[in-house]
Amino acid sequence: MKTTTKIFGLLLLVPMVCSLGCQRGLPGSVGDVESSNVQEVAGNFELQATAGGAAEVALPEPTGFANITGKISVVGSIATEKFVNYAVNKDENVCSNETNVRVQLDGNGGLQWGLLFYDGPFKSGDAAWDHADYVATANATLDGDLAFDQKACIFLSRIKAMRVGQTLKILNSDSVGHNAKLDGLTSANLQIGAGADVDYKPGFQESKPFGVSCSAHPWMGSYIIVRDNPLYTVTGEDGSFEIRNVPSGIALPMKFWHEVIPSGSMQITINGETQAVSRGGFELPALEAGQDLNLEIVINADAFNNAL
Amino acid sequence: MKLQNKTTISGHQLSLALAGVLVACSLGLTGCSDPAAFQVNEAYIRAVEFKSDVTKPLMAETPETELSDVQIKNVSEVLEGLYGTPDNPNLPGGVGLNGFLSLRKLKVAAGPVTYSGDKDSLTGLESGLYRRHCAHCHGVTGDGHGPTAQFLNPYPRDYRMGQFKFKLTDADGTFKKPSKADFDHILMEGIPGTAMPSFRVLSGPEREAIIDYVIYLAMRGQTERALIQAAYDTANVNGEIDGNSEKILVRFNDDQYVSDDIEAIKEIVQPVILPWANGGNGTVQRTIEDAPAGWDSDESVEQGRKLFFQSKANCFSCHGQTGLGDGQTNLFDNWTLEHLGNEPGDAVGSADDGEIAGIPEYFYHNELAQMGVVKPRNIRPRNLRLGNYRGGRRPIDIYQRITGGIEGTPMPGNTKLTQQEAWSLVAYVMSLPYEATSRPKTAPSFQGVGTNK
Repeated sequence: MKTTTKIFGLLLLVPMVCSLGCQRGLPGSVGDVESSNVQEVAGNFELQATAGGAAEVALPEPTGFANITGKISVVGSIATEKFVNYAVNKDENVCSNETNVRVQLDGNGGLQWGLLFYDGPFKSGDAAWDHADYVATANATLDGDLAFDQKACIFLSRIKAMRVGQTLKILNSDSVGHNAKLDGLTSANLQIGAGADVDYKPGFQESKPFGVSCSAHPWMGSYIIVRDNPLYTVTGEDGSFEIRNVPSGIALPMKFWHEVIPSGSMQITINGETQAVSRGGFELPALEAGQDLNLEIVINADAFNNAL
Repeated sequence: MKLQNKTTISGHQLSLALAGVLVACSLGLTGCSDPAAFQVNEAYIRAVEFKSDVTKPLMAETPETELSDVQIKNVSEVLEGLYGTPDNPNLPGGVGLNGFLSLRKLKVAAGPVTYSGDKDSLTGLESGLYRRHCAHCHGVTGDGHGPTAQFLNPYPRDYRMGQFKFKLTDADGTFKKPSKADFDHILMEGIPGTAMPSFRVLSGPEREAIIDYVIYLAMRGQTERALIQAAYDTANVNGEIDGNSEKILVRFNDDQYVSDDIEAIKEIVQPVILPWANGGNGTVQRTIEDAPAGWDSDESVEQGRKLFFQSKANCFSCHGQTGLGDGQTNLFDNWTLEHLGNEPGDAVGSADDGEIAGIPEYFYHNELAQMGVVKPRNIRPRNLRLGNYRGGRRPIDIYQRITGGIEGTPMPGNTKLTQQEAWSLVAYVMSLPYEATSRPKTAPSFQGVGTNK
């Protein structure tokens, strides 16, 4: 090859490399958004806008109150040993590993620690929506049986539900120190000495439960959900539940949650009718005032066995 | 002669060609230097797709739903509409900011570094304070992944979770957003023991502009996370959604739905803004009363020493019997937890300590590395014998760490200590560096030590 050709070749290469280098896009950069769409959002959120928040959505008027009772059970067998939290390696004289199981069933397949909650709009304090019994406890301190306790380095509730406005007592019934790290919108990390208690007063509603952990004992785990309405329940040892004084005459979007299958899509059978639910969501048709609805929810064991 | 002739021509051509190349290069470089762009939080998208609880290491082998390019672009459009771009920041109105941040200050902190020479302007700079002083570590997006990030230990803060460690606002047992005064304290003092320097050289107005911009980046990052979660929830709905075949957050091309969809965005943005803006005034630092007389006496130090080992304070559990920070060493901070997964199939290596007892296997996913997620490191309890306190070495700083905790980390706040007890712990902690570390104190011989009574 002639020397000139080589020189020119090299010289040509330089700008090519330059321009190639420039074309390399940054990974994940926002890239080609449509400016008309961007402007549409910007126009709706102009800084001078005086509105304090979203326009109030007109809600249907409930006709009264109804009650929902029922049971959540699992058909098929679950390899529950898969869901034992990992080994205790600290404070062994106090901490137990025996019941630290994330899926707890009774002999009839009743699922404990299932959470069922109303996932629609609610008017707190409005007599048509918020039953007097609930109004009375709107600012209560959840103490005694309602407290959130830990014993033998196990959170005694695997899921705890509460309302914005309420205060949750977090107890430590152990002889070692614990702390409760609460990773919610109102986050906290509270040291709790042996036999002591602390208060947790969240300020925001959560759309799903958040994790609770103990930094001193990393195998400990539980969940708390904070709602702006009282329409929730956690299943008992036999899988049974009750939600009293649910507004009647309105459709009820509901959500089911369990820590092992918190967001999966699954088939569940509600009162004999099988339906697919996504992220635990399903809708109950409007109830009649004074009605006592019995709700049987059946989940196939596969949903658990396929989960982590 | 032929050669000489040729050389002459070549020399001429060479100069021309060189000039041409320079012009081409500079044109090329100028022509294709796109304006700076915020990076999509792809790592969070992955975390939401793979993990039912992003704060835990459990990770599915395959996600049930993956966000499509159309759905991610939709989120980016909403986000840019709310917050603008790195060169042209914007603030959303009608969601409770109430003047908490100043758009004028944001524009001084944002953009490329340009100097106006205008003495009447806020800083003499037209724009670019953040990129000049902060972006090389914290990144243009505030993702803690600037060019130098991976070489630093600890890594620079990723603002996008909206969580900050060192502040005087945390009180009453819950974490609050830092106040602007907290940010200013960090800018003035830096963070000892880290790569975060003091920015005392900046003027007050310059620091104010940077503080507004960092809060802006945090709000933007938090909003992005909330939008990604909402987009994922929409994408994951079983079956068809009326009028939303692509299952996107905002149906821009559909007049029937677009205003409702945008209205729904307000409900996502407001919970992000309100804890920061607090009605426009921002959060307020708590008032800590002066330490009682004799707080640093020998008796107080001795009381603090006892508390250190008692379950009421429980300090030894993480900081170790000797305060060397060798107690609970196998934990992670919130920023790291999000990117940990325990499906061994994707592993390319473990974190710096290899296997850690009592924690499920955790792995650094190759895919996350490509998204700019830095290699996970354990969070270490502070070695209290070094006398190096990241949140500040004033007694009041130690007092606040003990009673308020450190957000995003395993360090809890203690709301049950009396003031006098808390100050005695401050005294003990501050006495530790002056003990002879070569012969660490054995546990004192009062009842309960070791059995943690």
